[in-house]
Amino acid sequence: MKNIWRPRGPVSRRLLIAAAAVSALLASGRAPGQDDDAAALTERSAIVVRAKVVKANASNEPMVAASPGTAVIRITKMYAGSEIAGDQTGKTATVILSRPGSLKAGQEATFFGNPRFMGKTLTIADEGEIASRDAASRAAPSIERHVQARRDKPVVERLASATLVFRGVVETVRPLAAADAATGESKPYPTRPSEHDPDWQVATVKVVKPLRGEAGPVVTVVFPASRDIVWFNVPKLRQGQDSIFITHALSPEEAARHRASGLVAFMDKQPAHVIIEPSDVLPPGDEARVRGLLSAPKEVK
Amino acid sequence: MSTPRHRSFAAFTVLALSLCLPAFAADRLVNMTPNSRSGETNQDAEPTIAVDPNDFKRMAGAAFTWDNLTGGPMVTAAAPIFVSTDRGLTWALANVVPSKIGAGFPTGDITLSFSSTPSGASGHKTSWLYGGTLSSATAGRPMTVLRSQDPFSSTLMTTLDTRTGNVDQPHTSAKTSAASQDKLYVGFNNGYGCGAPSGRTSTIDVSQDAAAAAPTLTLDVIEARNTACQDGFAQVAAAHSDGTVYAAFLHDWSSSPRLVVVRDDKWGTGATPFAALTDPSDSVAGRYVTTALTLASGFMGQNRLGASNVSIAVDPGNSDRVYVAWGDSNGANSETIHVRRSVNRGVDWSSDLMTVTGAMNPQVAIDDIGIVGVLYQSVSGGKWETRLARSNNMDATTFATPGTLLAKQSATTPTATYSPYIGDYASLVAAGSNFVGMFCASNYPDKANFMSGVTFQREVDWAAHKLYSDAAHTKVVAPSIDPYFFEINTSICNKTPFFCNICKLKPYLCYPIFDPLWFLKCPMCGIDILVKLEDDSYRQVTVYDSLGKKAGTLKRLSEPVVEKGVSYNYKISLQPKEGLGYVLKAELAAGKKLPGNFTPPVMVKQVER
Repeated sequence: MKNIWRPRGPVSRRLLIAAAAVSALLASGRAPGQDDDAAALTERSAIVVRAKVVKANASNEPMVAASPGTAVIRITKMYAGSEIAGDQTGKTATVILSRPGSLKAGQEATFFGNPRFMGKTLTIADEGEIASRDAASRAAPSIERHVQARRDKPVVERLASATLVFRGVVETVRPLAAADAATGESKPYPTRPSEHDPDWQVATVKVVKPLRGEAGPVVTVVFPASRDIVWFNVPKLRQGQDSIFITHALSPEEAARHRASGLVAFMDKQPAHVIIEPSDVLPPGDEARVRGLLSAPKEVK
Repeated sequence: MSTPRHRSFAAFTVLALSLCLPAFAADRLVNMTPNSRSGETNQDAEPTIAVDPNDFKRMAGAAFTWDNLTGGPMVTAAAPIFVSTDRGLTWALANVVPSKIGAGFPTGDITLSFSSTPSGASGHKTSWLYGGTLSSATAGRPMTVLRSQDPFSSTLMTTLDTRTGNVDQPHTSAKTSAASQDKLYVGFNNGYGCGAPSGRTSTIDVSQDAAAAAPTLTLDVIEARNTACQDGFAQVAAAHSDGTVYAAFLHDWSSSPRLVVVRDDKWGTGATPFAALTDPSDSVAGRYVTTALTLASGFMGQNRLGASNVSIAVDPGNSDRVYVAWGDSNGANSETIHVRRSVNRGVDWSSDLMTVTGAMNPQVAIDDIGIVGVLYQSVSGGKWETRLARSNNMDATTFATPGTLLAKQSATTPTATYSPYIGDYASLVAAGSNFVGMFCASNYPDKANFMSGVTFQREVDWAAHKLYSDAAHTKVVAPSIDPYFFEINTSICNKTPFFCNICKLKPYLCYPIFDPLWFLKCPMCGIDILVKLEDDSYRQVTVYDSLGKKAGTLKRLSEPVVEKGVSYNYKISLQPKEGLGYVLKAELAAGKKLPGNFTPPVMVKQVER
């Protein structure tokens, strides 16, 4: 197999992603190590495409000078990356090769990389290429699994630091200020809040199925209701919502930052957990996915 | 009436003149979303633009721009900025800002600024690019100061400094000193939500040599008074090449807000930086520009109010002249913007030179011939109107209002997906004698809603008023908020019609000079205009007054006059009258060309006669 690949990135990062990748393999019943190269490349690559080299030593992007390290390709299949610039199948793109001069016009390869420029056309900075037809064919089925492993990365990270993981149904939602009033605490803000004010809301969530940690029958969850740029992609809870919850404690830094909002005082008075990242709430259909991810890191460690 | 023969002669003359002129850009308006992102539906809000002082063709801009098409959590670890190497005609996204896979936002607030120090990058000729951002790469979105040696090679920006806690709105300003040091000022709110001692949250992260391999950054707290909780979110700095640095902010935002300007005369060095300007009311550093303000709150045209809206600019030709713009309440869910100026280094301030109700996001800039531009966005008849108003008199105290209409788009559609809808600020800088800016608005394609000549890079059918994700125009894309770039020319004609007549053939070879203080300080005094000229570049420099009368020519001095390291070798002595200004009209020596406008170093001295 002619595989143009060099490992990059810190060990800890690779380990974490390897955990996600292995978890995907375990979930599929495959043994790890069978397609490690493609896995490692996919882990580092937001874009994975099969393509034919239209012109070597060429570039479609004005800011990338044509050189032996660049080539113009025509994409025949997209494994990953359509979120970035849409489906590029049939379109040309410029690639900055991981090894200059490694591909010739007419040659087919699977390209693993990240977006470098998005101008009139896409320019991909390659992490690596698998040029051999046989190797690419062997790797193809596993690439999709590793693409999923990359998508799982944020969830894996949140699972690693979670206090509780459970499936539950939201019973009530109320503003933190109202919750404070219920506990006799004065209104937290002495003045009007910041533009990035989280607008904390308190939800009570009935636990349907614990997945990790010892959750009682009902868990108090605090979440930001703000539509500010910083918070709007964090899931907003509503009464009756059935979801997978990946809850967290406040880190010391977060506690310091949100002290003035009354959140810390609230959490000091009663057991409560926060959700503050997009991956902290997932649809109920992701239960099997989360179970698989929960089991994998422990086995790797 | 011209005959065909005359018309062809005129056409030939115009062609010949245009070939002789430097390649100045025409007015232009460009939707910056690249063609490869035609399927994008994100709310690209809150823009910032930077122009390389060494070559105006090189530009960088940024907004809340995701790496994906739908505004979902990040799929890569680098957020994009916009880059152009053809003076804004075309733009590409370069993924250079550190971010994080899975982050809900690509980057928080971000601003950019070029210095004029060549970075020495191997890939492209460029100056250093600096940025301040609220980073999504690290938990707690710290304020990070970034640097790029080559933004046009799309390599990840280097993080120079990280400030944690309740930090907000980094505003970046870089200026290269005569000693070739990059002076970097990143103003930010350090401790909002009552998180700073005595509520003094206005802070600037300063580097005196930001291009160094490992630059040192220090925090200068520029608020010298206590507040009830915090200052406003924006602290904006403007540096002049002579070492003068101004900064403006809203003191005591949460209780009794007032606009304050501080100044430093040595780049912010020294034991007590930014303390050169005190207020007569309490002798404390920081001059009050306004009395107590009622700040805007609520929403206007789906955009939140009250989060920022402070801008400051210093005249590149005279550091005594400084302009500020800010916004305050215009009643419920509306804002009024104001522009004022000082001609004595921030000691005294004018009343409002420009006031616009129902408007926000004021940005002020001053070009290299002293013309002042004010960019703002207002809601009128359910539409967001974005306009650039330019000063139109010698003293830059009056403005041609409401200004050039850049865009007039719906304020109700598309529906906001997050706050801010179009941004807590817009962006305006000067590039020579032009204004270059960036703003955000709906991309609904209707040419009637834009300045003439608007171009979209993304797939568009102007006749059908539709956007598409594909070149074949088979997949319709819903309208969203996009960033727009514009460049608007100014010339000596924006000063006075008399100068326009004198300089109409080669306006770029005319340099206007005026200061109301010449007459106000000493009506009986004369002035000496001292100019530094490269001897062999000019055949002659003639001086006219603002009534169109020839006042004389610059004479070479037998001994140059050296002031602040500048050696002035030409002079003319004049007797100014109230309101009278002058223009230096240069004639180039044979075979000589200027890279830009004629903007020689000038010093004016009052002389008792």
